[in-house]
Amino acid sequence: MKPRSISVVVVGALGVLLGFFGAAFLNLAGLDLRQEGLGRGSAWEEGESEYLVVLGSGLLVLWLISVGGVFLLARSGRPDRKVHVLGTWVIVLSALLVTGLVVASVAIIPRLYDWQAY
Amino acid sequence: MADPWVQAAQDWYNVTYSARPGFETLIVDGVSGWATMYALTRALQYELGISSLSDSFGAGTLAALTSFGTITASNPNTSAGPSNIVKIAQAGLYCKGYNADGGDLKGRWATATQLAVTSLRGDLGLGTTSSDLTPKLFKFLLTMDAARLLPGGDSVVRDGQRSMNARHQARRDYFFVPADGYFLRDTHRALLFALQYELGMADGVANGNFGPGTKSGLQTQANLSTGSSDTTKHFVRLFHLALRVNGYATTFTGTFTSTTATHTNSFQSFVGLPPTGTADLQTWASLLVSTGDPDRPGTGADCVTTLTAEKLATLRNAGYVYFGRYLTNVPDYSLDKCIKHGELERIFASGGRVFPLFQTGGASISHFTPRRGAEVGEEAANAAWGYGLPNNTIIYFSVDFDALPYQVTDAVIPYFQGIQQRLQRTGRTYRVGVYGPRDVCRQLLEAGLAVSSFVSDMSTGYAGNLGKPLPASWAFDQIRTLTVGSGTGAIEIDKNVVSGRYAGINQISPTIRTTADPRIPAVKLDAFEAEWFRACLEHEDSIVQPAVMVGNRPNVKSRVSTHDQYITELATTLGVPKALIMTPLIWEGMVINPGDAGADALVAAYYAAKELGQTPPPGSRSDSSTGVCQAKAETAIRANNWGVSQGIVTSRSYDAAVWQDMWDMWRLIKNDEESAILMGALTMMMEASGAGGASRSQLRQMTPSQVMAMCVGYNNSWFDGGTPAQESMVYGRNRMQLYYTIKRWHQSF
Repeated sequence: MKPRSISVVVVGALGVLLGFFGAAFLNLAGLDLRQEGLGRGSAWEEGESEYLVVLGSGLLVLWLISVGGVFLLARSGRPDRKVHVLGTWVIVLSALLVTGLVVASVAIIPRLYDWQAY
Repeated sequence: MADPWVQAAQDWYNVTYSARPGFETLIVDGVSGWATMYALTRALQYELGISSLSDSFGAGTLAALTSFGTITASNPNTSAGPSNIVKIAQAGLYCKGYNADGGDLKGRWATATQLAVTSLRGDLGLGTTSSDLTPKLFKFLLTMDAARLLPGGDSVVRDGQRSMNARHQARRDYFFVPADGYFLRDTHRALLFALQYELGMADGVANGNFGPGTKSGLQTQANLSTGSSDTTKHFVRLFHLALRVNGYATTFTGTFTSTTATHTNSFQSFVGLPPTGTADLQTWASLLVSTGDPDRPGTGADCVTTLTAEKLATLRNAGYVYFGRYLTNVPDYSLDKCIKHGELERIFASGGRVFPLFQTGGASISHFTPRRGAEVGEEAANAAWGYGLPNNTIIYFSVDFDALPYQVTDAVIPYFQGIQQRLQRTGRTYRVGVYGPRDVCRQLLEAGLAVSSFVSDMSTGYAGNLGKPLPASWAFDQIRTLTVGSGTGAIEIDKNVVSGRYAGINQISPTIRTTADPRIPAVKLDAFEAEWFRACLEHEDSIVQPAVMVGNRPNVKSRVSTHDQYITELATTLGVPKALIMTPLIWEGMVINPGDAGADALVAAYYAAKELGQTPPPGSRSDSSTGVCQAKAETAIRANNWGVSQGIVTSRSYDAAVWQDMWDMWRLIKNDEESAILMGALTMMMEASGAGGASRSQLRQMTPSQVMAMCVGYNNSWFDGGTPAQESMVYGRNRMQLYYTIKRWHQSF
């Protein structure tokens, strides 16, 4: 595999990892997408939820940058169809995975903050 | 399947009425249903000149129809034109499956219509000599009740329904019951009316309730035995019907035979009455209402009140032997109903026995989820273990509402499956009992999810009790609330009849160590770690937490190992179980996440500015939960000062109002793990003395509810006033499970 292809895969994988943690922190922050809109469950610590939202959002921005990085890597330098195709696949996969994780973390995974006292 | 006659009736209704105010368009599907019945009822009201239309065929509609008169060949006079009232009657007949006029709605009292009414009257038991459609019969026509035996219906019950219809149709408050062979609410009420009419009660006196007049009448007029037979009164027939619906193979005949006596004997034995084989008041009562005669003696009592020596003596002297007592309070301690220190021993010493109850919810359907069931099973098991209840003890879990059969299937059964999952967690084999209405108990017993039932028979109007026999394996039958005794010995109880199928317990196997806990043997560290990890994992706030914070588990394991000697010595010095100290250490360590680091950074920025004499930056904060036990400096200061005031620790006192003290304490618990552990322990001890009221000498033997209250307080102090937030109560309940996991393991070390 060519060095450029390896870079594309590594940056893409790193981006997915950042996206995974970004989505996870949004879940830990208690973000919850419901029919009535985006809500937030209570957290034990004042300010903790806000901090996690900032952290999660920051990681998702880094993920977006990584996607841009993959695009640039795949398109820069001498035109290479194989690298272009690989880059396209990495971007599509990364987008699907991270978008899916974000949706799952705020809309699908049950938020256990919804306690039932009785 | 669509019926063209019904479809024609629905079409006619839409054409005639749907455009009028107060009417809605009916879906034309050819299926008889309540929507069609309501629509026809409104149409009838309209035709009778009633301005306020309603789906209900109530007293006003009946009065107006009575004024209009019975529908016959001459009323209404249809010679000038068709009558919509007749058309409504014809539509009703089609919906009931009778051929009112070959599918037409001509509005005339045609021969076919008359034959249809005659047929309906015959099916209801009213004879076949008339074709008159009386107001009461019209009312029946506009219901979904069936006049013919339905699949699964009982022909003997149908005989009884038809007989009652025939015999009491002229009585003011008697309305026709279906002749479908099913013994449901309406037929049950009709049976009580019929009995009251046989007793000679006048209209307006007979009310369908099993009250003092009915009891008195039965006592004087309805004592039956072998050889009794109906002449002018139909007591034997009604008694046969009552036996039949309680599951005995009687027929609707008027002679009390030896077979009747045998069935009566069996029934009496089953429900805990003296087996005389004769029909007396108590037998009638047990056949007709779920409580039976609530004044009959019972030897069981369940109560929310602590059985003090005086109250226990009152009950024992009154003949009570079996006592239903609760394993836990609800988390907010709003009702202090749990078993107290020494109470079990006191009951056993008096010769009494105990059947444990568990209820922290269950009064509405929302409680019944599989997840809550699993939690409840675990809570009950831990509480039972904490009290030292022996193997095979049956714990009765509550279904304290009128659960309909589909609700039992959809929610209550999955909830009990959840209970079964975790009830054996402690290593003791506890069994599941159910407290609830008869039909709920029956369904759970049949599903194999409960082995015994405690029947909530005082709810006589519940569909789950009305007309339903006692479940086969009933152990306790709750029949009356009453106050026994006087003065300090007075106590309110629910009286229970006891079948003897389960006798409760009369001893415990104490499990809680009263001496100091030992260190964790090195060879058991891993197994112990696996258990406390599970206790944390099953009660995570977010399932993402353990996936993201993968470092928490090894960090906590390391702390447990590193500090075990310190914790052991501290627990010995403080006179507390190690579980009290380790519960916050383990749990709080497992839920640390980057948000905590962020909050700590804001605090550091706050005090950095303070030390420089500057204004703290915007967004900075004076306190955060920090350190290995995630405690706030303010909480730690309060616990420290409490410990100093109690003579437990010899430290300096801190003042939370002085920022230097707050900063000192915050740094202490953030940077020094042993100090953080000590402050966590002091906080738990202080909170145990809060709502739970545990004295220092009780800390090694706290009741489960005291443990729960202590854990609630760690999250939201009882000393802050008010009721802790709901999430704090759940925090406490969940940490209680971790506490007992740690406790059980230390029993085995």
